[in-house]
Amino acid sequence: MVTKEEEKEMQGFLDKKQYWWWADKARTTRLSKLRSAVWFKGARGSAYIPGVKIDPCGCKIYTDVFQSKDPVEPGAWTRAKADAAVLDRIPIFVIDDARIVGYCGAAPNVIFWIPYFAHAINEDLYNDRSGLFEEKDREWIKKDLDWWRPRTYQAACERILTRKEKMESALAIITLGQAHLNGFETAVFDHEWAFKGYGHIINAIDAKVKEARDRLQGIGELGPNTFPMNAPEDLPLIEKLDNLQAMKWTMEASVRWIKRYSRLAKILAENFETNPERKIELMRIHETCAKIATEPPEHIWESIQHHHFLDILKRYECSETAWPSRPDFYHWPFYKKDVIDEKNIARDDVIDYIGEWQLRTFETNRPWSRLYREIMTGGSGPLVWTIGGVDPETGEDACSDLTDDILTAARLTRTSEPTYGFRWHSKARPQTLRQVFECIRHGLGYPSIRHDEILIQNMMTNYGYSVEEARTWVHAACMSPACTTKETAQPIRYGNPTIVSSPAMSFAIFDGWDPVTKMQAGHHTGDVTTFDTWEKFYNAWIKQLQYIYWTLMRGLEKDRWIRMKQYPRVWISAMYERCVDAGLSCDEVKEHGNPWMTTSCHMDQFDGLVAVKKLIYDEKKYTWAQLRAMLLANWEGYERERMDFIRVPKWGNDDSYCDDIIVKAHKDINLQTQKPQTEWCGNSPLYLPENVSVYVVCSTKIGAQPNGRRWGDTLYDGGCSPGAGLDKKGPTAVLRSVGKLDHVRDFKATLLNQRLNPTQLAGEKGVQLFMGYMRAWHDLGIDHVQFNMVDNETLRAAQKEPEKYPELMVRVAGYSAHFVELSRKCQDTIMARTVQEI
Amino acid sequence: MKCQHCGYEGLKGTFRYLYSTTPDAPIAYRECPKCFGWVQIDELEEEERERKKVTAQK
Ligand SMILES: [Zn+2]
Repeated sequence: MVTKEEEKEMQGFLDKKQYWWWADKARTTRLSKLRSAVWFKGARGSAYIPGVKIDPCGCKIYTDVFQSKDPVEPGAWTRAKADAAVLDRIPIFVIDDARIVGYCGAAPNVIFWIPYFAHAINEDLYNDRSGLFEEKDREWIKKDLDWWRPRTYQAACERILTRKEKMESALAIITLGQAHLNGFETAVFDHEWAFKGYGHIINAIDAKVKEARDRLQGIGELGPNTFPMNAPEDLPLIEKLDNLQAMKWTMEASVRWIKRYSRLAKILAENFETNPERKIELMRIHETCAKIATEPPEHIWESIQHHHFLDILKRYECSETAWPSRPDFYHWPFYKKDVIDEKNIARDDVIDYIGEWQLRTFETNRPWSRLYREIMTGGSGPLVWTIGGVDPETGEDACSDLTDDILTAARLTRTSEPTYGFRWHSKARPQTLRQVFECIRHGLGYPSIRHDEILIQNMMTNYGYSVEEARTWVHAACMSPACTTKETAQPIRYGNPTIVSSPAMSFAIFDGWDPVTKMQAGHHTGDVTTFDTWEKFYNAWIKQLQYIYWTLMRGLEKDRWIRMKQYPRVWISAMYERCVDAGLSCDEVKEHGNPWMTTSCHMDQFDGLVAVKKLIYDEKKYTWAQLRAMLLANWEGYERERMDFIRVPKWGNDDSYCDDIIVKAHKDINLQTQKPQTEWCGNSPLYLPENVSVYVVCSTKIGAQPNGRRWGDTLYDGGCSPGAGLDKKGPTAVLRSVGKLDHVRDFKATLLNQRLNPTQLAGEKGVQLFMGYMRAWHDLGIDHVQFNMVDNETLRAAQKEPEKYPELMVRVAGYSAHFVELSRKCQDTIMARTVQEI
Repeated sequence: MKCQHCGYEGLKGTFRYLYSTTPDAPIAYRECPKCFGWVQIDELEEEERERKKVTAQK
């Protein structure tokens, strides 16, 4: 019970906008204890925080299995055996007070890793100066890594990549690596199938095995050879049988692994626990795990545990970089039964369960290269959980008490992961929208808000999904919507290469030459000083973008081929009904595709484009020779001239001269760089501009730009956001500019960062102002917006005395992070963003 | 320009450019070549000052 005194104190914290102290008082003792016991695995700058280690168990087990493999067995078998061995041998644990169990790694402070994917990452981790491995293990790990070097997925991919492709991946100028260097994926579950339980999947595999085996042997009423062979149709069954066998092993291993948790909880309850209440909880864990090891969940605590196990098991097979799911929708039937209809559990207790699940999610991370740690500085995801939206069958509002409870739990736990994406639509119930606003007001930086109607239309228009399919969408990673049905759920992260697109501007100006690496990096599109018309320059720029996008799609698809043929993901394949039906790996079976190309550092070049048109072609104030000289000098000695380029109309001010050029360019990019490409599943991708912290990382990778940016300066932080501080005409002008883009047809999605004034949005008046702003946003058909609501005064104070602000959170771009864990440069760019008065 | 940390004085170009904190104004950080401290400067003002100095010397 909260006393009057405590209530007053908590209100005081809210009034002073000290939301972290409020949360500290408002959350339960259990949540507080669990929260303080969590190891955060995100990076500070580009280093894991002290005490975090890389788990060597996966390396040991994988090496054992692969070194002793049967020389004639198919690749899928070895992989499945290695995964199964991990699940059988990895130490497991139950944290004090926890009611949700399951972690990817042998101890709470380690990050699980297998040496199978990229030797670049293996060696990056091994050579990390902070000592990510214990001294006693280094010798044998080194031996294992030497053995793995020519056998990794990276090595296999590099066999078929050209020298230039390999260099482009490694240099990270137009991309941030490829799948073979990053070794991560983003698999979206076939939700209904995954919730049927492991027993069901094993039975389905058995049935398919029997069917294929009978046919291969021609079994009928006379036994084998009742039917003659049809080799073209029958021989592929051999591969299918191999795949199905491998899938079955991974499913059986999952069952055994979950049963280990069941046993451990029982052993703890019966032999070690003295507190009678905790004994009951441990026995509940025991029963839950025993049941869901094979059966589908029936209660809310079982469904959450099942869902958590799914995502942890997925991480044992491959380092997953996201957590695509829709928890309020998936768990609603269980919530309704247990909280509303049968009253098996109190609502407050569900909030506690969800809070705990958020913490169990927050503590996960993957073995990242130093580059990727820096790209996600302060974050460990982005693990975007999708909430809100509509019911796939009826199209009615899917917001529920569970949605509200999830948002309440988020304010109580205040973790940077999971982060949330809310599917905002015209029928969403007001009390849930209010909860969304409260999270933003509490400074969490989430949920980010997505235009449900626009994104559903986008998916139907570009990929031909039915409306029922499109309405199932979840965030595949930070931004990209993806369906979750049998035919549509996608197993790979298409945007894996993550394009860096603003170098196209430098390439167009310097005939494909890159002033930073001083290499011929793009196409030869001609000497820009001879381009007497604007169109000539514009076309050269589009050609450079083609070079960038096409290079990366080629690499991505080649990587996919290698995975399909040599380095399959077996466990996740079993999680797709269509793969079990076909007996093929998820990389080979063609989903009804949904490809996209994540594009970072995207908007800067457009403001540069406008400046070039205005100052070189329209007003003829500068020549190309002058601009080239100024860019090569990084504007040094040309500050007065640089200010000329800065004063040219900029995106986000509802300026028609500027906006018309930029809107047309977006269309052209889609038509001329995306539509001509066809990926494995037969679809054309769409580009998806967004940034995470790439805009900071690339500040020294991209040369000076005609928008006035110097080498060293960060790039624009959003996907369609104006440059920080360059939006001068207020929030409506920003929305008007961004609303001119075609959010249904021209791209997959795009990211709009905005900052709001916390003082202006205080109290009930603040709620009304916010809802008014959101109506304008919704009417303009903009697919995304996310907010920071922390003032510069607080941020400056946190820069000065970081030890006093460990709980202060901000939205970076696509994810939230604790402000004091960001680099100084990243902090400064967040402070430079315009605070909008709405 | 002068480093406020160690007093080193030199042309703006000898201080390594770091980044701008205000993209619409000429304010930026540079790094002192002697003590590696960060110095915030007005690029435009400094450039005009250096230009005048050169003209005066001629
Ligand atoms: Zn100095």
